[in-house]
Amino acid sequence: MAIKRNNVSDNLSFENLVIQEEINTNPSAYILKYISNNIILSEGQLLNFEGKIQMNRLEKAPKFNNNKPQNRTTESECFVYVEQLWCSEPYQGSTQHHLPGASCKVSTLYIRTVQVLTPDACGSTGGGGTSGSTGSDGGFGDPYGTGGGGGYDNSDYPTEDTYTENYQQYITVPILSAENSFDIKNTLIFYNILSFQQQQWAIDNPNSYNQIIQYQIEQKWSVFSRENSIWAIDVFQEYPEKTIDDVKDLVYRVIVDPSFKNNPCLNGVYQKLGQAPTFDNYLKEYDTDFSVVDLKLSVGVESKYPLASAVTYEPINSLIEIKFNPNYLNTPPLNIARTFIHEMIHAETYRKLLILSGKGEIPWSSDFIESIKNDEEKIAHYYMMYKYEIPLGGSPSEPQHEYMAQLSRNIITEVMKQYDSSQSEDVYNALAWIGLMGGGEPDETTGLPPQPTAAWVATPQAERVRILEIYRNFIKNNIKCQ
Amino acid sequence: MSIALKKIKSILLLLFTVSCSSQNGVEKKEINVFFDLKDKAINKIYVNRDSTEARFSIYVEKYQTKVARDKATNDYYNDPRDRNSAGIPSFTASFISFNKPMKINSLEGIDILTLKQFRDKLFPHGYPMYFIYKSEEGCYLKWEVIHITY
Repeated sequence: MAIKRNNVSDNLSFENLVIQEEINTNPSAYILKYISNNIILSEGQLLNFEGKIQMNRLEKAPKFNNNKPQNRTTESECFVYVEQLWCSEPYQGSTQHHLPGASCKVSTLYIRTVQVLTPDACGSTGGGGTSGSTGSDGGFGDPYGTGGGGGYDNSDYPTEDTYTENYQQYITVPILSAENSFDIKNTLIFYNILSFQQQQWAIDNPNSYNQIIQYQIEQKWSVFSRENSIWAIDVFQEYPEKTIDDVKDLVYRVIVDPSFKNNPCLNGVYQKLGQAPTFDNYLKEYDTDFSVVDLKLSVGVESKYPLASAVTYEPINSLIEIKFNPNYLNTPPLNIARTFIHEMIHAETYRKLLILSGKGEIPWSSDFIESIKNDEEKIAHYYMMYKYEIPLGGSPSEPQHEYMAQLSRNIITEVMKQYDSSQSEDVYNALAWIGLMGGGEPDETTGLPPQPTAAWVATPQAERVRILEIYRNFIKNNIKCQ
Repeated sequence: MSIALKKIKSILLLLFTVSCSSQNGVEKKEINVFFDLKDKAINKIYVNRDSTEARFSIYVEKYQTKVARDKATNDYYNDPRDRNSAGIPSFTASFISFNKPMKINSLEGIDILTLKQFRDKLFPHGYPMYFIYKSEEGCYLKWEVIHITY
């Protein structure tokens, strides 16, 4: 049977408990640990296995009943042969032999002898045995056990003349737990796509690497969590002093497209913003549900909106993308930070709607918005008021911008201060309005664009004009990002 | 990683960054746009009293007519999906100059983009970027501009 451990530090192996019962003998019990180089799965079941097998006798289980040992002390010498059941039945068009499954007729089953490493097969002809390593990653000792296993035993040794049937006469089939087979397979796939340097890093930093694997398991091995994990490994290679906590929130939340990573202006602003912890710490103060799931940052020009400084897209297959326009980086970094925060709030609104829908995409309709009223009253209100059930005398508008203009400017202001505290309160307030005044250019006299937001209309004209002046002066007097 | 490998990696990254910048339409060269003040592509021009600031608003080509703008607005409002954060499309591109213009007598030797070309290319950005038009005095005014969003 498959063994499931509570504390797994090794995602590349799986274990089986094998109990052997024979007539007139006490039952034997072993843990077979399969350390795989390659496994092939079919419908969650193990089809083929390549790798090393280790066997540890359970404490108090009878020892091998064998002759005195040769002088065997190394792992490669301390093995026995066990027999596995295999099947020659063609499967899914392949004639490759495989582990038995439901499709195998009895006539296609046969025994294949395989080598199993075990400390019980070690020992020396003179002197006492030395203690085996307790192991932490598949050494001879049981890495998870509190006792038993490990060590050499002087009393039971195989010889080269020992027949397998005199030693461990049992037949076993490796069983891969259905609960972790998907994760094991993907762990192997991920490791194999790493470069040599990245693999070396993984070997040298097993704890951090395992945390990266755990992140992908939680993200169900999405393509984007994989890309993010590769990026995180690159960060660790470049900055060895960084720890998993430095990138943890980033790894867990944001996928950074190479186009973004390679843009010094955008990446610099992003790094200074403190990545996800800054947003996470601040926005949670206002919205305890805030978290970003599969958010992708990229750089490019949206063909339908070439004049937008950034665009956040509605979720597609549970992925929200923010695309920054590289043509509009000739502006102070604080303004880019403002764009970033502005778009992150859009992303969060989309995320909330997506989660409430329980789907990979938001099922836009008045019925859906109506259904979320109890969960997200304010968001539902703005969507109904400006899109789905516009009240008599009202006008359609951009629901999220109306919402943000009314309720999110304080958030934008506070996070901008955290990014750069050198500006005046007026500057932060003015910048927070950018993107929230409404559609179109503001009129020189009134400060109103052709489609103003309600909050901007409610701002006195003199104040509107003053805000615009403060904004322009800020752009004029501060060094541009690019 | 050896020093040589790090250098190679840096060079490759630099080349890749430059390549990506070019592919993204960021023109790392001077751009001069010449236009007639009566061109209908111009939404509005504002120059402050002492000419220390000028603002230019130019229509996106496909939204130049009110009919087109109204259609785009209605299409956005009638779309049941809220597809992205951009909302109603921007009908105009805004530019601003914070310096007094240079006065030049001739366009000779200046690599000029017409306003049509500038719009056709979706307002490419240059560093620096200039808008040039003929003043009432007969000379040309050359404003150094940057794009600004509201």
